[in-house]
Amino acid sequence: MTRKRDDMITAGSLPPFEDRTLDTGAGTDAADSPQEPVRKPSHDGKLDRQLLERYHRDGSLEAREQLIELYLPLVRSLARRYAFRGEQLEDLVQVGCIGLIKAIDRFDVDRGVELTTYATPNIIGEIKRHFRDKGWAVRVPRGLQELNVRLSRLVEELTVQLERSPTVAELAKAADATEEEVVEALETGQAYSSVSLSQGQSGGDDDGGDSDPLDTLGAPELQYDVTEDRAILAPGFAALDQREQYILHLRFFQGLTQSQIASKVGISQMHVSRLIRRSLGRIREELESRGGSEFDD
Amino acid sequence: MTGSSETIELTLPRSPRYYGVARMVIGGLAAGIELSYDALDDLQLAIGSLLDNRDLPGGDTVALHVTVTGDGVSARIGPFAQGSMAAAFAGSSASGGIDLARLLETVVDEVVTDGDGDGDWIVVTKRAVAAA
Repeated sequence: MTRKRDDMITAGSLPPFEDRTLDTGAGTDAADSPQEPVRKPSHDGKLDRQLLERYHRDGSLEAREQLIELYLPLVRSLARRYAFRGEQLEDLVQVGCIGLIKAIDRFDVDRGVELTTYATPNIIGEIKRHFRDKGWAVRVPRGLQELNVRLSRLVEELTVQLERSPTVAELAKAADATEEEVVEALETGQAYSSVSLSQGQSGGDDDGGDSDPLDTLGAPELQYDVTEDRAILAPGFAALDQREQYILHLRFFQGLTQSQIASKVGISQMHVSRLIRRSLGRIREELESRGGSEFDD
Repeated sequence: MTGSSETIELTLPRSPRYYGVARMVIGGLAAGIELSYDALDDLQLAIGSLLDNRDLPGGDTVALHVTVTGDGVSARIGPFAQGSMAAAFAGSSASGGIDLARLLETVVDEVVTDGDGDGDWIVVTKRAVAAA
């Protein structure tokens, strides 16, 4: 991880924090996660205000440092939620600290909100951006990445609105982009290395679903559908986890469209597309490693 | 692009590095005929699978002839080694897996194979569903 020296924070000895759940605000997916609650620093809110005023009105860097120290437990608590996705916890703490610093620097002391309320989405946002940026297998211009993310959302919205899959022209109009830009942005999505279904879609196309999307699947239904079908015995399927098998089963044995699968599984259509490609690639690798390859992606 | 049927021909090195070009071309052409995102993604998956298929030996290059009609897109891909297409499809129904035949039958509307002096070719067609 390469970051500016100014942004580096050492999460050394951490002050204790109170064991109470923090209200992170509506729509914060981390708050929806069934994992451990986000913990709020135990210090008094008055101290926050004093330090913020000293920093913003008097320019006290010492007050800023003190705020960072006070909020490190919150950063660590939030970072821990994302640590199982292949990143070191300390790296994520560093990334989260950047979000914290931005929150402190941008905080408006005249507004009647608490720093915790303002800092939490900033910290989560920075961690998610980190995953999103790292998720691109090749260097893709930021604008195209963002258009790709926007298109993912628009595909969902327009599919519901139109009751069919939108055309490129319709996507272009909705995204306020040209058709060429849409085609290019969709293609850049191929460069996104989608995370495993069982790892959720952090930083993925939705930039919003951090819980395991397949938690929404009914386990009995999943087991019934897959095990009752010979697909589970199909060559190469052993390389996939049960949930990936389920996606392919729905597409290639049940004949569901991507949008139908997306709706059934509770993830975006673009995410389904990526997962299908990735799963097919894994089957191919599995078959090739065995010396046979009747399937190819 | 005007008229009821026009074809664009593309010759690519047989390397994954260039397959994105094919997908971009398909995407660009699909935009003109109101192919849905769903259908476009399916067609791109089919073409990507054919281009990158190690069961279909061929030369150093692969040709892609994309024909756009009023109601869809057809892509003729080849040449592959003589007889390789039949071999790739043979016994596919018995495997129970997601082989080439099952994949193509699932994602495109029509699959036709043919051969000429150069080798085997495959034509996949995806039709646009009228945007109501």
